[in-house]
Amino acid sequence: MINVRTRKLAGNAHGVTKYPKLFAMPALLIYSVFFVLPILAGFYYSFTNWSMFSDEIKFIGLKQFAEVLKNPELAIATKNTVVFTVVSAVVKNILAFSLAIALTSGIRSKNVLRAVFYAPAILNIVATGLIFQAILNPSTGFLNLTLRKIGLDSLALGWIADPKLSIYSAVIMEVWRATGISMSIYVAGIQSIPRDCLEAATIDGANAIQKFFRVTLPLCMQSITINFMLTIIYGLRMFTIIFFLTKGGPGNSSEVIMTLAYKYMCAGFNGYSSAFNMLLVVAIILISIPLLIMLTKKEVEY
Amino acid sequence: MKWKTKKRLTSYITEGMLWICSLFVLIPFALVVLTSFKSTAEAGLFELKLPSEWFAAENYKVVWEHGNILTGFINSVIITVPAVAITLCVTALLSFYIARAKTKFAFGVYLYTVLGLAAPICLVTTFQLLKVLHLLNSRLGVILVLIGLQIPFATFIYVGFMKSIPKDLDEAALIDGCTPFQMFIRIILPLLKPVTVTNMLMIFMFVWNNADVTLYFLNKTEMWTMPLMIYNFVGYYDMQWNYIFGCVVLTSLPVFILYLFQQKNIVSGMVSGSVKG
Repeated sequence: MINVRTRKLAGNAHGVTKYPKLFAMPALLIYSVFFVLPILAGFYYSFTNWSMFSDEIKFIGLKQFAEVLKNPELAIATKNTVVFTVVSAVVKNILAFSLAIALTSGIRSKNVLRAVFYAPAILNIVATGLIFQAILNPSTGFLNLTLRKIGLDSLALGWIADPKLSIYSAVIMEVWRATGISMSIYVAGIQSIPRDCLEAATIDGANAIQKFFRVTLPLCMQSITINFMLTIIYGLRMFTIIFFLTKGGPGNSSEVIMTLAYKYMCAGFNGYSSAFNMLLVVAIILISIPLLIMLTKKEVEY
Repeated sequence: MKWKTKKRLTSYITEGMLWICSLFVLIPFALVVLTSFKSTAEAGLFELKLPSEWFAAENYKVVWEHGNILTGFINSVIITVPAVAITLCVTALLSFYIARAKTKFAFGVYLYTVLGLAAPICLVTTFQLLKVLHLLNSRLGVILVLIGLQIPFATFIYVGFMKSIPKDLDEAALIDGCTPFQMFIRIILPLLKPVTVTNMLMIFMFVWNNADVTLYFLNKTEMWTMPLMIYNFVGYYDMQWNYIFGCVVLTSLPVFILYLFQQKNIVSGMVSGSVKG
């Protein structure tokens, strides 16, 4: 009996059978086949002239990317992707951080308010897109009707119908929709600041503003970084907000990289579409690697 | 005493200001609900007031009869339930392996998996892959793509939590003669319950609300899920906002009911996904 026990223990100590690789396989299989493989294949096909209109797929190398770079839509889409990503990330984070500070300042209805601010995030994007089509329509929309009623006609702009403002309309929708998500992350970050730090600062005679800049803000740096990285990655690969609000229009004024990839896929230019997709994959991986290293370091120490 | 009153006053002012801010969130919701009770003509005016004539029953009858609400709901359930269940099963196993087998290979697997948190889906090749596998325009294809998309996030959350489960439990179970799989099912899985609830809600919200994967790879309106049923409905009732918003209300109802009961878990799930330390 004792013998059996010790033998088993010894066997475990090697750690060979305790945690079989088999456990990892089902997830890795689905993930590799249905997510990673298409991305890797996309790299290859982005160098080919693969399309619905011819049976043979020819490797045309960098010529494809030369074509893509010449496409005037790429410039619009790149500009829009950057504008959407940066503006929505900055606005969302500033609003979310301010709301989080106010919510954690010891007010009574903080749970209700938090639930209210988070609520837009649970709506599906098709619904949110329709709500904002109704709000931001220049002639019949709620926003402009209200502005005109209170005499602010000059602020009743073209919104989704104005090529110059269409991408900002998408930003407005994204801010409305997702500020609550960033806010919740900030609330958790602020709540995790040890009480002692703030109390020590109070004893040392710091006023509210000093406490904010010297204690709260530095100790929230981690959640600020994470929030920015998340909102940036999310913004770069945005498809649904644009598609269900403006469909890239009017004209092509609010196209982003992902909507272009979709558009060319539907038009049958497969290789061309994957070239757009791959430009985005490379950009996002380059931007997000620092974040992932940071997150995994925090999670697992090896 | 004076300091205390001042502090209380600041607190009231903050609270008041927050409620004013909350109007930005609440007004669009109110607009949707109120509009869905109005006549088409009045709905187009977008006034934030009660309808002069109530069309609630009529509007919702039209939406119910022409919006395929029930079909959409059933389709959503058919796609969401297996997607959530399979994602939870496979990622719990994967995360257990990653968190426990402290080998270079396991760490490599972890990096490989979380890289998917950032990478965007590649449309054309996924489309082609599903076509080759005869999974294009099938629910199974959409389910598998959705699982693939959610594995990184779910794994990330599970691995973070797994660290809090003492390793001694594994040893004890193995000494008592469990196979590794029995140990996982009987000892580890019950302990993962809180994080499984969080994960389940997050994946549920993602899959249920997902509109793009279905749009890309399921070109059969009779199989469309609730979000795309609204999209379909709008095609027929363009600019008739009383019907459109009625459809928005009905299709959003399931998630809102869930949110009402699981608000804390849904919000904390989002938070743990990003700042879990």
